Amino acid sequence: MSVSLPPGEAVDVELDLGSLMPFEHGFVTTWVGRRKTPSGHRLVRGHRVIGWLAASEAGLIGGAEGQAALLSLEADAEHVRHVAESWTLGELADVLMLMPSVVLHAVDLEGLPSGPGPARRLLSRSASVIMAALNEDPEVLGAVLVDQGLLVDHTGHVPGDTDELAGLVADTMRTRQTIAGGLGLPEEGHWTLATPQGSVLLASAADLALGVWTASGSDHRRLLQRMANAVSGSAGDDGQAGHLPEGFVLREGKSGPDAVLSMLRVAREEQVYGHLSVGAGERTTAVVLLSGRPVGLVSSSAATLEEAVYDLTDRRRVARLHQLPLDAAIGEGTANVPGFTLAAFGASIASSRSRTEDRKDTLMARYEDILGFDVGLESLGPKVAHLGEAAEGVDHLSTGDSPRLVIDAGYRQRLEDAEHRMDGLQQEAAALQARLEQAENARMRAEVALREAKDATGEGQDRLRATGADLDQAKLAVAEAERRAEAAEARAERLVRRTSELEHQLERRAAELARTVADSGSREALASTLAGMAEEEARVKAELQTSAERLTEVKRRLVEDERHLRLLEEQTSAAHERQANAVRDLAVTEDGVRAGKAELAAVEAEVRAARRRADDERERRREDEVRRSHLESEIRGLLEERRTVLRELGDLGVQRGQSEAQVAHLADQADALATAHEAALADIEEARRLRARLTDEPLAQALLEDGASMAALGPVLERLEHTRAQGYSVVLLDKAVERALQVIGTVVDRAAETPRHLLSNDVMLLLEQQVPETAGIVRGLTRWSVQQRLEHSLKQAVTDVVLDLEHLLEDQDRAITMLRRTRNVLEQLARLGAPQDEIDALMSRCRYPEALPDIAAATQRLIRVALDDIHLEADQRDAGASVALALTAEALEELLSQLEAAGLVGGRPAGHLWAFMASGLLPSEAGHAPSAAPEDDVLPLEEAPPEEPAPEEADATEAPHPPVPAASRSLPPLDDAEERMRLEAELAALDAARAPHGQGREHVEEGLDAGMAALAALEARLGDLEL
Amino acid sequence: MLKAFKRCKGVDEALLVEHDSPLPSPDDQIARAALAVAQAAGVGALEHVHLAGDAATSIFFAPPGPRVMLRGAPGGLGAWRYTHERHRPILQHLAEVDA
Repeated sequence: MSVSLPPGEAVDVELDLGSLMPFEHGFVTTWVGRRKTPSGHRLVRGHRVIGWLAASEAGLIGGAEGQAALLSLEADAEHVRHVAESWTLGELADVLMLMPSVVLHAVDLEGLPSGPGPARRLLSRSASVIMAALNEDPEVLGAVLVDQGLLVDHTGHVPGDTDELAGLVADTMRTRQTIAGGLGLPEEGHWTLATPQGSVLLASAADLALGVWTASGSDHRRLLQRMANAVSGSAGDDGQAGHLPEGFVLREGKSGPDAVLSMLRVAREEQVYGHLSVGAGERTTAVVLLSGRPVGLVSSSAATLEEAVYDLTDRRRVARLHQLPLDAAIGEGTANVPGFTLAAFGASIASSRSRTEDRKDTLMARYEDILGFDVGLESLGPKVAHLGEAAEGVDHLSTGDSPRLVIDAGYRQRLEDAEHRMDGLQQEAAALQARLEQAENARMRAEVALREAKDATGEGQDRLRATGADLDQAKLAVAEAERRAEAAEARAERLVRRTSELEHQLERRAAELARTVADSGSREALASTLAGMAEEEARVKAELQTSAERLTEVKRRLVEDERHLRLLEEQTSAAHERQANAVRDLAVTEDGVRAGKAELAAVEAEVRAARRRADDERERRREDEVRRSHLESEIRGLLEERRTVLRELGDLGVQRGQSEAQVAHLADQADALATAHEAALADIEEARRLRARLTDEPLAQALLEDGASMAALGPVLERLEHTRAQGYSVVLLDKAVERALQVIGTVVDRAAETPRHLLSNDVMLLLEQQVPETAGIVRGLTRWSVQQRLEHSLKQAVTDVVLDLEHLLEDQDRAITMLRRTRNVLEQLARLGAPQDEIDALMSRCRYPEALPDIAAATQRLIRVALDDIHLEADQRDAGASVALALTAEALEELLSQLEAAGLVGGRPAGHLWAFMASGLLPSEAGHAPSAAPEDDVLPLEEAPPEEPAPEEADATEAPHPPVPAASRSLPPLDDAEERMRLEAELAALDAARAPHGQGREHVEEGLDAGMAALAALEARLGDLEL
Repeated sequence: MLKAFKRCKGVDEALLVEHDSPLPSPDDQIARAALAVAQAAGVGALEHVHLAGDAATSIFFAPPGPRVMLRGAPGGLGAWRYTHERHRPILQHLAEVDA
């Protein structure tokens, strides 16, 4: 399985994967061999490779595993090709938001521009959606949502009154905004108030503020991100399907594929939050835009995507690009055209109104140019969705064999800086190396030039020496020529002087000639002499001419030699100058080479030092991490120990309090016991005296003999104790027991009053003195009467009380059952969104059966509200949710009918327990009142109605009774033993009929009626007794 | 819209009327009195009236959008106001559509 990342701008530079990338953000795709799909990707941020994504047989893998897989694949492959494309930082952030787990270190995700922050994205949704998301998160203990200081909603458990907390949260967020503004920080972000017991997250957007109470140590950044992702795209009340509010019109013009694409480009560039609508009123088709990105289509007439796009690109209609305020309720939920995806939308735009393939290709190219990245992002999302499940590891850094350690952002930042610095130093070293090579080349060239200059200098010197020799020869020639010129000049002077002398001689000879004209001989001699002298003169003149020419020639050659000498001197000086320049250049070059070498050595030393520092830093970081892990483990141990100690201290404190309470209680008990002991001693003394007096009292004797009747209360009391042990309030039962004891006490008291009606003590004393036998009979008869009355009355009273208590216990059990069901229903109502405070209040009262009518009434109201909500929202749910809610509604209606059937709502509840709670009278009292009252039940003997005794009873009463006076003998005979046995049998039958709880009261009442009849008959017979 | 308001915390009754139509009595008296008080006090256009006692009544004015009257248990002022603010654009649009 392979995946292509959204396209970016191609990077046409050679890549060195071992160092920093030449582009800032983007990705490097690995192509192996001739495969047509990429084998993996390196994600680059800030020139650094921060994420890895590799294709394997099992699917896509990212992070450290992806890095290992991709490196292994590249190492095994013969031919690997890397192609880089660059993104903007925002595009990189969009990609990383889809697959954050491909990043090796979570720190590299910090600071990415992800549009609106998670707090703003979360708070842009409706309150119900926000609260539902927070309520479902296990880390969230409670939360409040506040609008300008007023509570909007709350969920979970919050420490205190929600209204006060709302004001506090709003004040705190205002303070935060003030501080952030003062410090030059943006308003985005959140506050975390961390304590060892818990943390509070405070975030705000516009007028809304959110306070979230979480467990201690909760990562609020992740929580906000998680919440924002959870509510994004979820079905909420963000907008209504098919409804788009009007907004500010940014662009308006004729529609058409090109116009739509142009407006989409504008929307993308302007990050428009709104819609691109065509038409108005009943025929409206629009593209919903969130941050310039189409998210859905709204159409009032089209049912499919193609129809909607065809309608959208109708050139006869007007297209408007609307910009909405950020609080407008639009989103994915606003769209009502199914099947919208960016790819399908682009294909529809390209093909809806195009006839040729070229036109389609052109439109598609334009669409991809605008939204190509988003299309790639859209197709990337489903493929990398599973990578998010492993996002837990992005906070960890694997360091060798050591367990995964949480890396500190500071260390990561320092490492990144060190890598950047190292890369800069390496680049600087490479530049210096290049400069060094250039300097070396320059040095080589300088050496060559030096050698050439030296050779030129030698040649120049040779030429100089040759020129010097020529100059010397020329000088010699000049000297010779000068000497010859001087000689010629001297000769010329001599010749001039000779000429002058000859001329003088000629003049003289001419004079002599004139004198000797007459002498012809001497004339011829003179003529020959003159001819000789003329020849001599011509020869001298020719020599003179020749010497003059030679002198001129010598002078010319002398001038040429001097010019040649100056030329040679100039060449020599130029050669010297060139040599000096070459030497100087060589020295400069050698200095530069030496400086470059020194600089290179320094750079290499600095690189070594930087590497050493980086190694040291890594080592220190590793040691710090190890030390910190040890410290963390120690801190965890200490915290655990502290918790244990605190828990023990708490237990000890509780034990101490309990012990103190026990000691105080024991002291009170001791005091009470001492007082009671003294009182008991006095009571014992008094009892001793009373016992002596009471031996003659019939009531005391009767009680002493028939006290076992009270034992019938034993099982009821056991059931009472069992009910108390269930944890429910037994206040009503306690009151019922007290009332029952009062009834029994009343019965006993009234039975004790009988002797006073029979005979007074004075009469008995007088009778005992005068007629001892009669007194004995009267005393025995009195004793028997009291005994019988006490026995029957007490048995009846105890029976009634036991029945009443059992009825009350049954009602109590039913009430407890109803409370349990009500509690379950309240929990369901809480999950259905009923007000939590009311639910909590009702839940807290579910331990008190006496509060069942109130709880039932409140629960009925909540159930009705919940049923109304369920019925109102029935059409908004899918099939599964509807079935679940139908079951819930059925259960609620069943409980509602039970509550109404039990009479717990809308009136007085039926049952003995509620009658007793209302009147304070036991059911038997209420049923027999006022005739069942103890005082009415006891009648004087003389007022008792006469009754005919049964014949068999009269016979049976004769034998056991002592002789009685005449008046008493006129009574029908009484068979006391038989009567008592019959009554006991009837009572036993009644007890047997009542023994299984829950049988009808009718059987018991029939038995009681029979017993009452027999007892009335007995009293009637005794009432005729006359003394 | 009524469903959205009815779903709000504590709301037992929700009513939408056009901005220039009277509310049922006694809410109309409340609205008239509040408008008169706001005019006398010079606080500008009245946006919201909230009366709270054993029960609470809120009337929101956002002309040309419809008036919204909410009645129910007290203690839900923030939620009521938040809900109205959130749906104010749609209310405005409803008025525009009606116009």
